[in-house]
Amino acid sequence: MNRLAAGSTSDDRARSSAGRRQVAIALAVAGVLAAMPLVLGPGGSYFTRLAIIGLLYVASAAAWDLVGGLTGQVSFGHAAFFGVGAYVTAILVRGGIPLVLTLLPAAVAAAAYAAAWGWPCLRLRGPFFAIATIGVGEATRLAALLWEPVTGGATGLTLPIGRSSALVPYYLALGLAAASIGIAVLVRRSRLGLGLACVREDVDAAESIGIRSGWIQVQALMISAAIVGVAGSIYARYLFYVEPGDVFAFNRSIGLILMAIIGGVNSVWGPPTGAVLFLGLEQVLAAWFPAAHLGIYGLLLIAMMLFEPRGLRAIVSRAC
Amino acid sequence: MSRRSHLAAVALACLASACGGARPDDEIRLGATLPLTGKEARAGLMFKNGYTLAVEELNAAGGVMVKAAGRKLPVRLEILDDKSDSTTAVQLAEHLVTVSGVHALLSTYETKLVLAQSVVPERQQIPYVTGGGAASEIFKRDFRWVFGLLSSVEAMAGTFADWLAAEQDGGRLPKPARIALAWENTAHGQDFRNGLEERVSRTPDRFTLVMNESFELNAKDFTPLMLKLKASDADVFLSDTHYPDFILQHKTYLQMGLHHAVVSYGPRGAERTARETLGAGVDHLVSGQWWTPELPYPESKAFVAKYVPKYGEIGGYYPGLAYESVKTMAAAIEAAGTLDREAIRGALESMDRTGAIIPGGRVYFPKKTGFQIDNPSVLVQNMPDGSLRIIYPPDATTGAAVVPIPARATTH
Amino acid sequence: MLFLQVLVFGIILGGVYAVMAYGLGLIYGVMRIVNLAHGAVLMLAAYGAFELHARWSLDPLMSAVLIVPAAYWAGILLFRHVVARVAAGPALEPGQTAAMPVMLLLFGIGLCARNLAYLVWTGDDRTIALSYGLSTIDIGIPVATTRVIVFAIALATTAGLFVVFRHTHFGRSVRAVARDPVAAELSGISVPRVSARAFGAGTALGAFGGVLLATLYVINPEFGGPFLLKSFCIIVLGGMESMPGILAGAMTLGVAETAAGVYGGAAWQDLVSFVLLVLILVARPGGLPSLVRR
Repeated sequence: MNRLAAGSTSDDRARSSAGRRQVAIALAVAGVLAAMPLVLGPGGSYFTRLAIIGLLYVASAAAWDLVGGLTGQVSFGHAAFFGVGAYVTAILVRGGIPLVLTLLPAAVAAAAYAAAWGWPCLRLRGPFFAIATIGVGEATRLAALLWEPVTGGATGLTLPIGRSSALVPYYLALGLAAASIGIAVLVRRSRLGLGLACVREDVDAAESIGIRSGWIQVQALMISAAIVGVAGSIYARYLFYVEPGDVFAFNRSIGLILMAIIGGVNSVWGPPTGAVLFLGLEQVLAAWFPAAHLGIYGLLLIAMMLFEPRGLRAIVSRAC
Repeated sequence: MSRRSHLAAVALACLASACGGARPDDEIRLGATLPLTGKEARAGLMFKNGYTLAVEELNAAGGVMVKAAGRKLPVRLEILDDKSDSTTAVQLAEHLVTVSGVHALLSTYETKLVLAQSVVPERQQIPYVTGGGAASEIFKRDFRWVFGLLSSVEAMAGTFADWLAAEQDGGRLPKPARIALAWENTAHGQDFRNGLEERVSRTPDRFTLVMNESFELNAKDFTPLMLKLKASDADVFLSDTHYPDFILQHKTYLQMGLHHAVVSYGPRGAERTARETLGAGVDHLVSGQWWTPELPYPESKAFVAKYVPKYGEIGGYYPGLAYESVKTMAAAIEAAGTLDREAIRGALESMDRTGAIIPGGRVYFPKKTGFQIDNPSVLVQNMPDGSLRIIYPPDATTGAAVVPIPARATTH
Repeated sequence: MLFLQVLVFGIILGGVYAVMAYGLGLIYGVMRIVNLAHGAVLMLAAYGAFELHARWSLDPLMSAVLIVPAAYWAGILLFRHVVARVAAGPALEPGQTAAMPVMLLLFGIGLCARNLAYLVWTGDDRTIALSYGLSTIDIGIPVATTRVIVFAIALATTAGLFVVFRHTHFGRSVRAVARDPVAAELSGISVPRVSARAFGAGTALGAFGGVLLATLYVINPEFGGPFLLKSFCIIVLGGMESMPGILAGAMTLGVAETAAGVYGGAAWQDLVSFVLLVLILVARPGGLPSLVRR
């Protein structure tokens, strides 16, 4: 709400210097990440692989938050967009088209899919929208399983491995993560973002002041979908293999929710932080408690909902 | 270990191996990922046991002879848990190659994971033998480093067709025979369907396909499928399923009072728990396996005699294929005479080994299939006394098949 | 003739689906809580029936006598000490209701339950082998005895719930709380106590469903998943607040799936429930307060 009020000049200066500090930190982190693979050399491929997944998580979590946090419509079916992007890229690359030229079609396809089911479903509120997204996510997975001529059915599609460097998906993922966070900032500063925040608080009040709640929610879903779709594209290149049980997995959608919740929904840095923590948690669990990873995610959710549903961001600001 | 120090350790290891840090070549290092937790844990554990037993056997004999080293080298095996997740399987395979410095990779279990993981040996240029992935898709990518010990599921369908043809020639099945096919919507099921369709179209005088239905895993109701089966008036019912779907399908089948000359649920049917659940309903079911402990080959029997006391009952082909994978890799290393990857690869490509425990007893990797072995599967039929009879291939049979299935007394 | 079979089998399948969905429907209808732990309740109850049968040869219908009350108390405890706390706590974002945190909490409980199942029973498939497990009843066409039993129980449960809600003090209190918690409190009903009991009842119904389903299907830790999604479809189809509606919704789904399987192909069976779910959610007239209220 401070955004709307006219602040004093010292407030403005404090905000912009805090903003500049954030940007500086972000640039520094980006720079380190950009240089990492070159420093580590060919033996660093394990790190690179891990980082690609982490960067895709960051990009997807920030994108998810546009709908789940900013708009307040928690989606349990975002994997549908991930998979659409992955399949579009897989089909096009198998057809001989270079990877980078498939990213835009993947984004467009994902956004179109979002508009198709988003338009009717975003009218639903809260838990109903959530349930509808579960339905859409699962229906998409089933459709991919059944549409064998195009998707290869249950076997999926393999990508020709070619000779491109393993750094291609790395830098693409880094770029996507930066873009996603940038878009998160831009949307929040724009009229669209303000409108979404109003819709989140009270749809009827928003409508009554002239906000076209249906249309702007669809816009948010489309932007979110496009980013997650490109993440799927990069993943297809990373794994060289796309199959429905992996890219459309319900667990993938759940992971996005967990990331945003852990870090704190409805913030620029919350979901990315949550994504990095989630990645770390995955690795730790895989190394030391592989038999308990479901339970630990469950306990984490339970603990967070009991003690601080607003996530790490709120915990940090309470401590400071 | 905090995440930062863990990352630092990884980074240091990466730097070390990047600088060509010398790792001693006085041992043979093999690596694999397996689903040791999660839904596939049972199969994963059996694979692990098979790998371990084989390595122990090798080391008990002093190791594997490596001419370039002038002596036998011991074998060290590293197994990581991939939790049945593709991304983890790929990452950990990468870890085994770049951080643990293995000389060759053994494979994980389950076609999906092998499809994803097989990219690593190809890009890292390191030999990979898989006893856990059979989809022909794995081998259609013009890879040089991936070698398959499981014949394709299409080939398994071909084995069924070969056996049915033999039964026809023996006068026990009509010619042409009407086949009703149901297949689970997975890579396995798709391949089975492809294989059967191919054989049917190749020999239309022998087979006609009167039903061809796919179904999703973990269905809650197979009534529609069984209604269609009934309406198709088939002689032979072939279904390709996982265990829960097999139980529900066959339960529905029995409750509807259906009957066919031959009934098979693909790899399912011979499980002890199936007989506990379905009783006499599992009599005369035929199942197709890539390996079974009932095989009469002396090498196979010797392996089973060593495995069972140590690890317990064998439930599936997993331990046998795991064991044979290690033996194959060891044989390749010995034939190559060195730990050089390209040499081992070459030895695998030109391998033609006898005395193996898999059906046919021979290990070879034909170039025309993309280095996937194409030996026959073994077909097993449940006998009413609870025993299993091997009915195919001819060099392994332990008795005659019962075809057609005798009519059941109606149950109400 | 075939169509008649589709109808009969579909309706009987509906009985199975109804017992699966009651628990979810009760909790949603009364408290507007989407119980994402419902699948876990089904799964744990099924394992309970399995264990009691494996150890003491107890028929599942008998073990229900033990399992259902245990689930009732577990549900009450869970509600009082965990769910109510989260429901009264902060939302994900200031200005919203705590509905999402509750939903996520229950989802987390479901995850823990699945992990517990993996640890205790491993991922292996289990079945309860009943003496009458394969027998059939002939009503012109042979129908599985176990399914007929479940169908009969579904009818009885619907009738029973109908009576409870219309004619018992508990039932009337529950309906009052569902309609207007403030008014209910004002007229002397202890909303927290009734809510806890309703949640307990929903859990008990879910457990009952799980025990019955255990007689029909193979059990493993993923048991709950497919049932959860179908249950959503049913309660949305049948209207969230009425038990007879759930039975009707369940039968509709049963017939639709069977028809899709026979006329379209077994591959289409699963898709039916999801398509129906989304269609119904979206096509309900916009003015229904139950859909639009957050």
